[in-house]
Amino acid sequence: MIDVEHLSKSFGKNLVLDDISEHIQEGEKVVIIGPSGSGKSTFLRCLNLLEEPSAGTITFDGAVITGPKVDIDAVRRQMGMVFQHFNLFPNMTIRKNITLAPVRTKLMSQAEADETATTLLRRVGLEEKAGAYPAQLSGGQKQRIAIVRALAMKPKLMLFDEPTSALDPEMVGEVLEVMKELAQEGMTMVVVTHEMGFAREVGTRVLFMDGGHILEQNEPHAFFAHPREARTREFLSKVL
Amino acid sequence: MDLAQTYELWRGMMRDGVSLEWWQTFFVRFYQAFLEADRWQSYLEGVGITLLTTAIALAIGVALGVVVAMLRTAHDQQRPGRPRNPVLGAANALCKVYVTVIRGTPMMVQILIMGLVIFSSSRNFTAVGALTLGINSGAYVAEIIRGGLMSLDSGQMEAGRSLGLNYFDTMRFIVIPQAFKAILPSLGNEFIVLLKDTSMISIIGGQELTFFARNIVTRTYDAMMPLLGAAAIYLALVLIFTWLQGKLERRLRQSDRR
Amino acid sequence: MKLKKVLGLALSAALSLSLLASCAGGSAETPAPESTTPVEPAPSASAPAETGGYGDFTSGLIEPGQLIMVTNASFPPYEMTDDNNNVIGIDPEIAQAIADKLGLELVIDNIDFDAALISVQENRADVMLAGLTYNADRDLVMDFTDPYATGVQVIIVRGGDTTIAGTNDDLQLVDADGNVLEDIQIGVQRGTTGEMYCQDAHGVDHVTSLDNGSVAVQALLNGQVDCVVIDNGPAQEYVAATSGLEILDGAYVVEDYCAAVDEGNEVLLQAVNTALNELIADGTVQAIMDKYITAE
Repeated sequence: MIDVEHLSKSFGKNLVLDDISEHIQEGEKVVIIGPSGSGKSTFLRCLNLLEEPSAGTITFDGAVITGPKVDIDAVRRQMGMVFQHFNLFPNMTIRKNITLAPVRTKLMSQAEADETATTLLRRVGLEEKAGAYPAQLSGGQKQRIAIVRALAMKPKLMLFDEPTSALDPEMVGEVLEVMKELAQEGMTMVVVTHEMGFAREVGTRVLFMDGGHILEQNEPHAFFAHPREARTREFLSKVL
Repeated sequence: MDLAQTYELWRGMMRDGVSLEWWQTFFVRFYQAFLEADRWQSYLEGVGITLLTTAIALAIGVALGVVVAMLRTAHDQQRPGRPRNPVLGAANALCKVYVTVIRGTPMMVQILIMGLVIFSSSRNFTAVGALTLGINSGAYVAEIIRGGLMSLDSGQMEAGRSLGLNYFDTMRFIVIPQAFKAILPSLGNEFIVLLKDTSMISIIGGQELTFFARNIVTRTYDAMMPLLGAAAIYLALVLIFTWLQGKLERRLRQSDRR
Repeated sequence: MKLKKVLGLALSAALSLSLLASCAGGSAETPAPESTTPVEPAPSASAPAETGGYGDFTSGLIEPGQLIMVTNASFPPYEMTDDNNNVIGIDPEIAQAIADKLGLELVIDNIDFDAALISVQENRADVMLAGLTYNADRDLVMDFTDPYATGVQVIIVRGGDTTIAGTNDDLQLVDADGNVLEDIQIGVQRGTTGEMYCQDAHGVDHVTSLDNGSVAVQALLNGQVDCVVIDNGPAQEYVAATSGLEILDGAYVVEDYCAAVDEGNEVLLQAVNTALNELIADGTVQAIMDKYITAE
């Protein structure tokens, strides 16, 4: 589904991603782990071009999206993104947060979007919050809404950028639960996280990134049982 | 004995050099400045023109300010790494010159130049004055708006764009409404400055509240009463608008309640 | 309506009280040096010893031994500033002559016209000479001396096809064929009697008040106004300095200039008036006028 070829990214003189090539199949749940500053978030943000790659190409569904003439908005409509800090729109009700993009991009009529919002909210158990504002919700509720907001665009792929890192511990579970359900429905997912349990349980593949490289990758059970690289072992010994 | 008769009586006594109590003198001067020959009507006319001028200047200022702020923010927020848009670059340079020149020169000089040099064929001095104030205000409003746009968490723009909304929809529905709430106090302040600065257009013949007040000074040589009257009217207007602004802010804050 | 009046009265009262308080504080101080031009008493002036003929006016002075004159020096040739920012002109010289007669040192404050009015009324200056003219309204807040000069206001127009026909209350703009053009705009200098008379005669919409004479003349050159009503003195200078302008024959208005003191300051009015009339009688005033206004 996504082909990354020789992707590099630098901020000024600081090289953050160094010649990464990777392929992600439809239906995969790829979990990216690694120490902070390893480039994992930047890699994820390059996939929907929130960061502009310095070099290399990215192909999505057979189309090169790093070219100059690409309708980037059309590409992003097919990739949902969930942020560490939720980034709900505080000036809108929850329903408006969810329906704004589908309606403005002419994906749905307002009535269809409202119906979609109701269905999705019911799924995450927040139906009664439709008329509330983000400031009235807890962190866990906000992140579940953020996931619903991305899903309302009916994306083919979901990107998660440390979705539980800003949450109080007791709220992590409710967000991971929603993500697990999503995985079980067959959504293609790329998740940057520190939740090793989630990686082991839900992931189909784990990538370990360090210093702008993908140092090691494997199917989760093998990855956690038999890490090959010394750097990986060192990292896992700290987080597990 | 009604007010007018009292006035005539005491006025005659004052002119003849009879010494009156301070409140009697005050009454005569007050009556002369505001009530005689229905002079209060000319203050009222002045208030109308002051408000109209402020409204026109505000409309121009906000329109200009939004355009300039959008252009400059769009220029500054271009994706690093991609070739820069030359049209945006030129527009940004133009906007910078505009803001620099307006903020770097005194309002009074701008009014004189606009009234006597740039619009030297216009006879509608009040309209030229309103236009000048609007152009002046635009530069300040632009900086206020730009500050508001820049101060907003970049995650809001990213969230909008990641949903597939284009730049302008994201600005219109997400960034600007939030920025507007943040800058409302500064905008209100700018509006109050604008309201009071309308008094300056009288130097090129604009006819607003200060003009009419000074007109009465010319007639009576009593500067204190008309100027105090004008000051009281400006103060009342500012208080009314401050109150309205407070109401608007409270309404916009409804999404903050927990 | 009644409530409105009471409310307005209360508001003005509050403001004027605070202003009066600040004025009272200010009047005790000696005038700030930067706004004041002390003038040396001329040694050749007539004997200053005889204060007896003017009555005991010391109680009418703010500072003993000083005559503080306030003016707005933008009204040549009556008052203007030279290159060193000294106030010169007809009024300062007459004031000097009066001060000499009264045995006082003359101090001149040069400030904005409206502020000058307040200055006399709030006892920060003894006397105001600034081309003042008398009317009944003004008599309430100031006491005026006898007239010492005659001010003439004239009409300046652009030479050319369009001319002004009629005078005073019936100014009309006519083209070369004598057709009356609608919508005359008269330029005036703000704060002058010309402004007042034009507003009364033509309505405020047909009169454009400019901040000073040179701005009014610029507006005339631009075509933003059709004529300018202005004092004859500056008018002569503007027309001489600018090509394409001319003064219409005849005066728009002729009126008398007086000096003024604070309302009720009888003793000082008496002294100044007496001195002034002596100066008029012995030809001093005329000599000063002739010095600044050369015969045409």
